[in-house]
Amino acid sequence: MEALEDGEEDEREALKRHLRAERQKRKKRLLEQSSLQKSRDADDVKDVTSIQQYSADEGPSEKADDSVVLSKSRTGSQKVLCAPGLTSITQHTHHLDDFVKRRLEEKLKAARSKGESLQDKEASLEFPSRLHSLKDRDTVTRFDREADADRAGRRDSPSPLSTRVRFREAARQVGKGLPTAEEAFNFFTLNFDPDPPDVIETSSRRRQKQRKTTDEDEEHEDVDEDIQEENETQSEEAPLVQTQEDLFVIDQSPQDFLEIKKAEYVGYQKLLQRQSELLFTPSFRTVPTSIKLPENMKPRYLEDEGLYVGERPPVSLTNENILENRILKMEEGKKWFGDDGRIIALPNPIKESSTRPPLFHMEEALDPALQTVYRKAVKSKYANLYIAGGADPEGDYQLDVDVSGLIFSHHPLFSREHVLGARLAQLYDQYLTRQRNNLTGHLTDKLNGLRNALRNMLESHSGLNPTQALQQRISEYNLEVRNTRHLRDSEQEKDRTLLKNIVKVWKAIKALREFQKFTNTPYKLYLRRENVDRVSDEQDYEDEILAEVVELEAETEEEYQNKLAEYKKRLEEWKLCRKKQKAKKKKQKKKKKGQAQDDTEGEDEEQDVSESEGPTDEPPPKPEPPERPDLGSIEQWVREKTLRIRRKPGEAILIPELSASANITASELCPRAETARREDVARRSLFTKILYNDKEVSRTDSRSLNTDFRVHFGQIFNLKIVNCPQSISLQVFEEIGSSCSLLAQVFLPVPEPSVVTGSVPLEEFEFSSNQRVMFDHEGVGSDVPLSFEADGSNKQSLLTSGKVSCCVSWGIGDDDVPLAPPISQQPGGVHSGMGCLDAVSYIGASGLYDMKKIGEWARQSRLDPNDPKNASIMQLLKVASSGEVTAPEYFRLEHLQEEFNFVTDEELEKSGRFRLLKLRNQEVAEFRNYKFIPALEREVTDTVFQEYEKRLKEGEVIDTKEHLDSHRALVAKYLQKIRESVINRFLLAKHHYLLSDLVIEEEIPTIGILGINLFKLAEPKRPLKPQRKERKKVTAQNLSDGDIKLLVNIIRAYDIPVRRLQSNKPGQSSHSALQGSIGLLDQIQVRPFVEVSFQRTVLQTATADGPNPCWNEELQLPFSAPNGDYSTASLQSVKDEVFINIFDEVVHETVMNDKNRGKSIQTHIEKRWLGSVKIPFSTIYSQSKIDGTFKVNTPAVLLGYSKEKSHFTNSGFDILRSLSEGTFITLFITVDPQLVPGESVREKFDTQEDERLLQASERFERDAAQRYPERPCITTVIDLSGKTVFITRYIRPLSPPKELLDEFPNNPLEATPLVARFVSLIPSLPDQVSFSATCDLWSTCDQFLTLLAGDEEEHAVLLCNYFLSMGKKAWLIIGTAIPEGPTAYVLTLEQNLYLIWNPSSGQFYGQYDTFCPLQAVGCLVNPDNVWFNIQQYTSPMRVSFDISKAHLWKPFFSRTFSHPGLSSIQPEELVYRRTDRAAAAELQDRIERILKEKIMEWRPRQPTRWNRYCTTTLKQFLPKLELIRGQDVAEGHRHELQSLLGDYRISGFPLNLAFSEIRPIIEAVYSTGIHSVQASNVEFALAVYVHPYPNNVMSVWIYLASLVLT
Amino acid sequence: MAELHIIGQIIGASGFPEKTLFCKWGIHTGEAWRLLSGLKEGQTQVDSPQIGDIAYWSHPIDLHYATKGLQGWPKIHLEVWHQDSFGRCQLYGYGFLGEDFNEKEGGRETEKQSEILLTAARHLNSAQFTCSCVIQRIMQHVYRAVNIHTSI
Repeated sequence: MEALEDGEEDEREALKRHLRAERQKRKKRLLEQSSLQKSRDADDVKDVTSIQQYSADEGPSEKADDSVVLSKSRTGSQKVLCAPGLTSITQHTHHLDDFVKRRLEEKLKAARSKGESLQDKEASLEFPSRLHSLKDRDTVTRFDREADADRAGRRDSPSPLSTRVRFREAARQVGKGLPTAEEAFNFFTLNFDPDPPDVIETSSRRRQKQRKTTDEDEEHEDVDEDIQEENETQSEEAPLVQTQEDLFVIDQSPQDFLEIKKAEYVGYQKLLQRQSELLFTPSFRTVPTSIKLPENMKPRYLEDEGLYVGERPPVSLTNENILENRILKMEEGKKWFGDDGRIIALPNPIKESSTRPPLFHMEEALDPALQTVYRKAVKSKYANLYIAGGADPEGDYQLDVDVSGLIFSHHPLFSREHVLGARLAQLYDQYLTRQRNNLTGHLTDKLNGLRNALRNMLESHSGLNPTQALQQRISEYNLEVRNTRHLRDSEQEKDRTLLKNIVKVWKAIKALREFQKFTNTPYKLYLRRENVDRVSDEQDYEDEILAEVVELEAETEEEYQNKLAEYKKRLEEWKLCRKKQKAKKKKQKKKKKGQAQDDTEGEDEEQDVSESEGPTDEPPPKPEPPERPDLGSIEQWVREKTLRIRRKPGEAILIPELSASANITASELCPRAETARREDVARRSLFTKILYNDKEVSRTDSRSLNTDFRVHFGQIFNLKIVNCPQSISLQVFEEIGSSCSLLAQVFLPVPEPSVVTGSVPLEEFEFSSNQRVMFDHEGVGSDVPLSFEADGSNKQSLLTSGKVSCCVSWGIGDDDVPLAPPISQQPGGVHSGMGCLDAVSYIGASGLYDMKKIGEWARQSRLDPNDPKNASIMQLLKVASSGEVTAPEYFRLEHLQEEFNFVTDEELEKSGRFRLLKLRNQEVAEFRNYKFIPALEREVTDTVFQEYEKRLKEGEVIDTKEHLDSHRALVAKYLQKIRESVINRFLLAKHHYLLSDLVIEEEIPTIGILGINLFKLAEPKRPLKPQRKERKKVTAQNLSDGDIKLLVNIIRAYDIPVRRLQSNKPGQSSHSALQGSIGLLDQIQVRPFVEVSFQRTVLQTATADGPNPCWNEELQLPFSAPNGDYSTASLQSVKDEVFINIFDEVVHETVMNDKNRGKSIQTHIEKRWLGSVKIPFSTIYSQSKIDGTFKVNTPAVLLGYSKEKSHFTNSGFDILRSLSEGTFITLFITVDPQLVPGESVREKFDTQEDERLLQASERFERDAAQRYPERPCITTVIDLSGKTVFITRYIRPLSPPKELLDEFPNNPLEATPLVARFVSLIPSLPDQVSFSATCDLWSTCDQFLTLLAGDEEEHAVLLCNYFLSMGKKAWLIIGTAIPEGPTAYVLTLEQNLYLIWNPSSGQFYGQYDTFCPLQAVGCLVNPDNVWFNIQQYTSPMRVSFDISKAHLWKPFFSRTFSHPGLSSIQPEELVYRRTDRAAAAELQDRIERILKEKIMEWRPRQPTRWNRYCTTTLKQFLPKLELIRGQDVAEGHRHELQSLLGDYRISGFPLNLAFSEIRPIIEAVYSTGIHSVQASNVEFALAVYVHPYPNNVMSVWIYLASLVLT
Repeated sequence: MAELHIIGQIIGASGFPEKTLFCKWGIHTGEAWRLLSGLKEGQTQVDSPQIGDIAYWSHPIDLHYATKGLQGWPKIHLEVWHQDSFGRCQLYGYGFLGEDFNEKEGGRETEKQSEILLTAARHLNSAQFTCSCVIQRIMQHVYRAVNIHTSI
């Protein structure tokens, strides 16, 4: 204890000495420095421009005052603010200064490189200008720096030279322009004196050092006075040097760009005081008007005088007063005031409404510059961090943060004693911890135990030879003992050192307390002595030493033995080569051995080492034998060590006890510095912010800092969180007054989910801050070197540090459920602990797909195969290692598709329903009109597809059976193909909808229509004059079977043939005679009725009398569309025809003589076919009604009948008159309800025509349609390939077949009807039917002849071309006819008479023929031009065909638009195939056979007998009929026949048809009803004749007759 | 084998800067879906409403799909275009109504085919779209009706 006190005394002394010495030293250093500076100044002035250390800290107060006085003279300069260097204040700003300096250094470093390179470049250029500028720069920078040192420094250093120069020049100009001569003088002379730049170009380090000395020396400012004086003298020199501009030329050092100075701080009071001296503060009292106006003037108010004065902007009165007061102080201040004594002001600029154009116009597009740019929303970084389920406000998670308090282990406000106290406390804590652990005791016990065990082992086996195992054990024990001993020794040493340190620190504290004469900390250390029994203690001590020595010796021995063995081994090797020296060696060895024995025994008696062999010195080449260990020194060493690390034997055990019981000296008794420190401490308070994911979520209350630098918060914060915890941190803030600063930040670990509130102890987290704090009082500051040694050595820099005790845990809900998110959601938790390499960082993200790399990684990181987390990887590796796993080379999108399918593709394909649906959708012909597709798979039968599949299979094969002619089979095939392609095209076109297809807008009735309707109301009702009402049209699709009816109104007929009396054999039969007589008498020789058949429905009218009967009867025929499809396309393709047959009802009465009953008369009714009219349904459909008188197609010869020619019996009739002969019937046919006819396809077709021509034609057609909407006008047509072609191209003279012309070589006029007949024999096939749409396709003549099918247009074109080639004047008439509707006829001019040819029938009519089927003429076409009829009438009878008259016919090509010379698309010449008579004969036979079969088929009940004789006779007639084309052969023919078949009552007729197929022939035969003769004795005759024409055109003649034997 | 009917109409659009609008639409499906009938894309007429703000198209949509899997539900995409007085067209907006064919369990267990029609018209700032879907025989028993919401 005494020794301790001594030590304390010493330390106190040392400290005193140290402080004194330091003070001296510093003084000396400063002196040296200043003198050094002074001496250096001369050399270093060159740097003056750049670096001026405005050393405020050294600036003397007197000087500062001086400067203040001086600066007063210069108003406006702000220099005053910064000039005085108050040392006390600078103390505070030191750390700031440091900070600024560091920043500047950094900037400088960056700028230097930049600037230097720039300098190098510009050096040559800029040099002269820099010289100039450098001179001025000094003054400029001074101003700048004074305003803002930092800015000045920054501006100076990094900016490129050129800009700097410019800036300076500008500054110079400003400086030159403003001051007066006197001012300038003051500026340059006086200004510099008071604050001379303290020129320092030492490194920053040196300056720092200098400052430090100043800091520590704050109490002894008076010492510095002499230095200041020196500074003054020195500063006087400065301006002198500055004038020597030549010196500046020397190169620039980096410091040139940098200016380092401390930030000045001026006390607030002083500042105010100085400001009040400098600044002018205008009063805010109202200024009297008189002052503001020029003298002797009265205020004048313009507004009162009636002038407009705008509204002044609102300014508060106070502000206005201030402004006025200020302005008045100025020179010429009065000019700012107006006549009314107020400040002149513009009217309020703020407008009522915004004048800026609105940003958003609804109409115009925005200026692109103003356009708002859309940017995609950026996902927040934290967006994906939300805990799943966190969106649910109830199921949230709660973090409890318990901030208990904090303890500073160092604080800037610590006094020295505090520092020591903290250290002591720390050491004591350490000591306590050690005591608690008591490692030394444990180890000692263990050591003793081991020793005992070893001893026991040796004792028990002392007599025996130790076995190998025992030896092994013993050596293991020895090793253990050794290790334990080492451990114990080190622990003991630590204990001892700790104790010593504690004592040392305590002594230091005591010394300090004594020295400073007050106590700051409550620490008090007691050293409790525990006396021990000296003897036993010494005994223990010695025992311990002995035991250790023994062990050590044993160890050394063992080591030695090992070494020796090693040596021996080597020696053996050596010996082998050196055998001769053996003897000598032996001798030597013995001698040595003896010596060694003596030595060891002399030194240590206890050593009982028996040595078997002694080492011997060997000659140099021999290996060195190991040295014998010095066993004596071992004990020495052991004792020393023991003394060092253990207390001396018998010495009391010292137990330190630290208590906080010392009295802290009251503040009043403390020196001023300490009081200041304590006050400072009291001012401060601390609080803590809690940051969660870098966001402040809460903060603790502010607690004041206690003298013991412990703060207790004791607050728990419950954080309800939604985001995953990324970081939790506490920020410790220190509050001084109202300002607060961040002391330190402590990061807290995010707790494991198992860490729950209540179960966690508080933890201490250390924090520290590297902020530098310095004080002018007793506080030691932070990061400030501090020494407790007397000589000032062993300096320490203590940083603010401490411990926060707090804990973070997950909250517990009401139902004891931890409110912690599951582990998997915690990012970062995935990485398993140490030793496990992170896979991604190891092999890289891309390598994750590389099996090898993964395997390698797994091996290296030693994955735990049992960890479920690694299961997937392990499995992967297992697969990878087991065999070749090839990564798929492909990439697929929906790779799980297969797994989720519930049916396979095949099944889907197999589904009949789906197939049906698809086919229907594709509008495949068979399924296009399929209405209902079964809902269930099993209801779809396979039969549905049979036809379709068959067609697909046999698509190419055409059934030739139906066709009697191979050529026609081919044609049919070809037609089929064209048809398909056209259909496809139309199907496509059908889907192109127009607006009118989609939007049906009801027309709003206009006033005109309303007016008409009103008039109609007023009209008188005329029931006898009913008016036709427009029928409502029905769209086709919502119809079904039975809805549509065909109405046929048969009105009357004319010129029906009458029965001819069989007069050649009169009286043959009384009945017939009677009949004949009646006929003669009454002139009613025919009883006709009409039978209408349509779609196998047959209806007939009542029977009328006479050749001109009137029926006026309506027949209703049901109509059903094919496949039940009533769509437009389907209806258009209906091929059915309406057959209207006229029959004669013949009544035969047979008298039956019955003996019992008398006579009875049996009446047979027989119908005889007289003629027929065929009207295709398509015509009815497209025309919607057919109304007119039609020529009845009567057979050329009607056996038993004759035309009644009563009126025209003796005729010198011309040919034209006779042509009109025939039977006519008046009909009205329509469809009920009215169907909407399909519109023509609007598709625009390709074309090769000139665009101009097309436009012209369009215009022409449009004009025509506008003026005469009823007249058909066609200028362009579509050819078979679907191209638009101008119509005149179709007309070209083409020669008819030679055979036809050769018939009448002399009379070309005769040939004309033959040609017409040839044309008419080409079967007619309406386009609508063939192509199922209303698009008119025009084929060229060669195509027509090849196809052998076409409608009126083709016929007309061909006929017209033939006529042209025959030298006739011919035109194509585009018009409307009955029953065809819009059609084409041919017009020829012969002998000044116009003839109208019907190309389909080969008939011709005169212009004035009443029964001409042509009803209207639209336009005429010839190869050169198209003329449109612009006459009043369209009927051919009233039309003038003189096309040269422009007011009657409007030509397409006129003078304004001449014919461009369109080439024809027709071939130059038609090639005809020769007539094939053999084929015709074959066909003839086939037809005959088929017909006979059919007739027999139609008469299933009765036997059908064929009259061969009659047949052959008829056969002979047929060629003749063909020859005369069925004209007027009846008489002779009948006579001939009558003579042949005298006994028969014969009725029959020949039918003539153009041959296309067999079906129409059968139909025609059937429709005559010849098979329906019921008489039992009837016989039939059938003759067929096929007359071949060139190019396979056939005329088929069928002679049918029924014979009844009378 | 399941079938899906999409029956509906594109009613119209409103809320665009101009009123002369038309709409292009199309339906996208995944691999597993087969179009049995109907058009899967199209374009409406241009409507230039004289009165009111909504350009009405009332364009029908009628499709029939069969599917072998449930992935890749049909999505409809709509593009609203503006046609100016010169006939130039300009895209004004587009949108998808995605997979959230808002499914509602029909809960029918009958073997017979049934149709449940649900209509939804949502007037979001631009396009109205009504669509009803009928799903037939999903997994033979489950019938579900689907309700499409627009969001453009």
